[in-house]
Amino acid sequence: MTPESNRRAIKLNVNDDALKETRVDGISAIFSSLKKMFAPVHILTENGKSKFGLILLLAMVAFAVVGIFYTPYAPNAYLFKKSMPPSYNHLLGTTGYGQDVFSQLLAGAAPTLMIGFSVGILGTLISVFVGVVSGFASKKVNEIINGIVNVFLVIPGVLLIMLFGAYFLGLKQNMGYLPTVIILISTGWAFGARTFRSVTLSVSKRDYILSSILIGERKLSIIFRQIIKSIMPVIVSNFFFTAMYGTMGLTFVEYLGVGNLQQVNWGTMLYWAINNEAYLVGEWWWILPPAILISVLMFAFILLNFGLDEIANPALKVFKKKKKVIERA
Amino acid sequence: MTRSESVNALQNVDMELNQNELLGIVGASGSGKSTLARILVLLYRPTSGKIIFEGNDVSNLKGKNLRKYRSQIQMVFQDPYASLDPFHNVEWHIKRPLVITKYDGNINERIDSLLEQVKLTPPSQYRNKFPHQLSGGQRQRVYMARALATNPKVLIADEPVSMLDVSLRIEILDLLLSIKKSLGISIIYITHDLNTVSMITDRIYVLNQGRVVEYGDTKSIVTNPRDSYTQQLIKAAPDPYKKIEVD
Amino acid sequence: MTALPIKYIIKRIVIFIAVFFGALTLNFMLPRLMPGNPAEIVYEDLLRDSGGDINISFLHQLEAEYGISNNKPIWIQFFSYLNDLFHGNLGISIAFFPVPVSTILYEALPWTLFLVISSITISFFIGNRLGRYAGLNRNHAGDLIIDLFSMFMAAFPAFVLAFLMLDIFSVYGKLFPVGGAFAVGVNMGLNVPFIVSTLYHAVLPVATITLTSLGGWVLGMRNNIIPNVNSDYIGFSQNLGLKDYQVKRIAYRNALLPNLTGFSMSIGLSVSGVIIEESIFSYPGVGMYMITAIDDLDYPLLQGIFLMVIIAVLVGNLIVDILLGILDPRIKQEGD
Repeated sequence: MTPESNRRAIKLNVNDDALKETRVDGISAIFSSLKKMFAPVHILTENGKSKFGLILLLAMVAFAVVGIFYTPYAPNAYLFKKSMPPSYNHLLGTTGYGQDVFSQLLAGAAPTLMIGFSVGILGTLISVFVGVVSGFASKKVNEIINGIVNVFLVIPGVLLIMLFGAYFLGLKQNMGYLPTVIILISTGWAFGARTFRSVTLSVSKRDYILSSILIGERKLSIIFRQIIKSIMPVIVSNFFFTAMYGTMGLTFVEYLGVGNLQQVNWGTMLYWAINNEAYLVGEWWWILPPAILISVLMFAFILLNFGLDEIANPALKVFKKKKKVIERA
Repeated sequence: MTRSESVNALQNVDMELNQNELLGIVGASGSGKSTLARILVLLYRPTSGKIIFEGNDVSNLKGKNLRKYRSQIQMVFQDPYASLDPFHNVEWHIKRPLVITKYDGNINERIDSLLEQVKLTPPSQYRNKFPHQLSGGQRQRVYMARALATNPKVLIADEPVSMLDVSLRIEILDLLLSIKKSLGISIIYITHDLNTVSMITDRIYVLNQGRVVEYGDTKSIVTNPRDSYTQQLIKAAPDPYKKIEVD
Repeated sequence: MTALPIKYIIKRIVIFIAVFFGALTLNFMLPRLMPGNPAEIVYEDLLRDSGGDINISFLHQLEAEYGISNNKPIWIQFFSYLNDLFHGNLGISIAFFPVPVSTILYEALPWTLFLVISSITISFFIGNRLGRYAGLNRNHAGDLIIDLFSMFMAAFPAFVLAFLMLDIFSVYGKLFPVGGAFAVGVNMGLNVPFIVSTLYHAVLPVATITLTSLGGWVLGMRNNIIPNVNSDYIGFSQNLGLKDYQVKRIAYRNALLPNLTGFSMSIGLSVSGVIIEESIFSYPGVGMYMITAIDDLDYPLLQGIFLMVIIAVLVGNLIVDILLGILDPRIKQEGD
């Protein structure tokens, strides 16, 4: 449940609940529980931008799922003639090393999406924790946390990527995607933390939170039972933003050479294409497909983030606000 | 350049509340009456002075003792659209204080009886509703049931009816009276509206700009105000029997 | 009303110093947190690369560079590290041995700052204008095109855009130079050929960073101006009979101030963008050296870059914050 679905319910319930008694028969019960289950998705389709973003993202997920089970050729095997342009046998040609580009794209989709999603989820969890705690803590704790958040906001992300990346490179151990994800989460949580801090500060001043303080609820209970629910749209919106950062950061990490270059993902594909100056010798089929797919993925995340912000931020939806006043009166 | 100064919303306010009394606090907006309510439930701390509750100074309570004190003093907010959590239903709102204060009877039955107490009958019809499915008056009743669930000794009602339709106000005020009678608790009714105060309260304090200007028995003050501010307030209150003269 | 919000400025300076020391400490700690000895790792790498051409004294020299020696307590190491810093001694680069890190940074940093400042300025002006247009013409075709365009540009990996620009405009179009900060044979200094050549070489890098950092300003301005347009005071101004363009100007100005708080973020983003793109445009800023430093695990150089860029960013932030505090009374009250 979110403020948005609430607003909806107000409209419906004027003649739905107030006049009739709620009758819960079998079919409508199933229907309403289904509706509840898909409520978050339902919200995403409400705004044109987030709807478009959702479609793009689902297409990407479908592409990645196919890539897990099927690729035309082994994605990382040097099987073919080098630098072949697209043909019937090789839909997107071959790389300068003789790998099939289309197979690499398919196989690289899942890890790319996984990194985006895991950075999105873990980064959001950290920023929710930090932001909500600091928004609801005493003034001193709040200021200290705020200071730390500001440090991470001010330092350019690429510097931290470089520093942490060089550190992990120095370890000289193959840890798969773990260092990449750690680097991206540690550089990507601060923005969300600032957002959650200010949202929590404003929510915690509302009467229904004061009321819970008065009846003796503990802070943790208020945070988990009430505040998290109130700021859910912001959390989801921030997830998409952080996932976008994760995807972008992956390309940075790979481009700077601090990632794991043996893996196949869209970031490493770009790295190898660029390193072999594919752009100079006209091998567009090697560099453009991963570049476009990464852009589309990030575009999908941004659309979802921006669309959700429009839904969650009441100031941006003028017409609905006016209606609400009428209903109240 | 602005300097931050703590504004003294209340000065030299000296009040007493007797047991099982309905006390009115009257003042125009800006007179400090909401601040007073929030100080009484210790949402704000007084910069100086004391709050004595049952013989003990409570103004510096912390932690467990603070929670215990608060469960005995509950507050009803002005805006029933803001005081209920939109994400939880009626049952949750009443259940939480029961769980927190470790109510040792049957919680379900207690919820029903509380709902009946605030005249939301039959309770089964209201338990699963969400705030947005209720009218303003119903919300205020739900909120009172929540406040009563902690079994308080004092109930502070801060402008509980000012956001409601006029037709609903009497019902809520009646409810305050019946709560006082049946539960034997003390109620502080805070308002700017002299009409409703004179209807239900036993005694009143009149606040002006953070100071008590007059106090005493409600009837004698309303009929025979001594302070000029009180006189203005009474003059300003709409009198349904007064005829408006039109040229 | 006095002109300067002194309390606010002092607070900013305190934060500045705190962040600065945080960065210093991070910089100091990281090589020491590495398992084993980074000097040894680097030494072994060099030994392998050069085929045993380096003798063991170089290892001790490296250890001295890092300030690592196992027999000194950590706080003494920290103080000698600080002492070195205050004397401008950032160590000696490994990749460009034996050039001191400070020399490299002294030459590289001005170019990076030049790119950062010019791209921030340009994207600030264009972005806010576009956002103003989008917000004032909400839900019209223009708004949608601007929104989607700026979102898509923000979504395009910055360095891929840089390659495409380079490919299209330099390699095939031959409109702009392929690399460098100024043409070979032009004398550095305050002379017309040098300035023209510098500006000419900066067009592509600045355009690329501007394009990718535009989105934040556009969308921020759009979302700030919409509530302003619908606010009561704008309705009031219209009822007072103000002309349409006057009302729009008021809404724009009031939306601009909150949008300015995004400045510190945008400094960080632009610096990131510039550092990534310098190596692509062969631009002689810190970014170009950074790629080499990472490839060779040149820790002294990496640490030097980290420190210098952070100081530049912090100073930039401090200036912006103080200016904002003077311009917008609301920011002072928020305090952060």
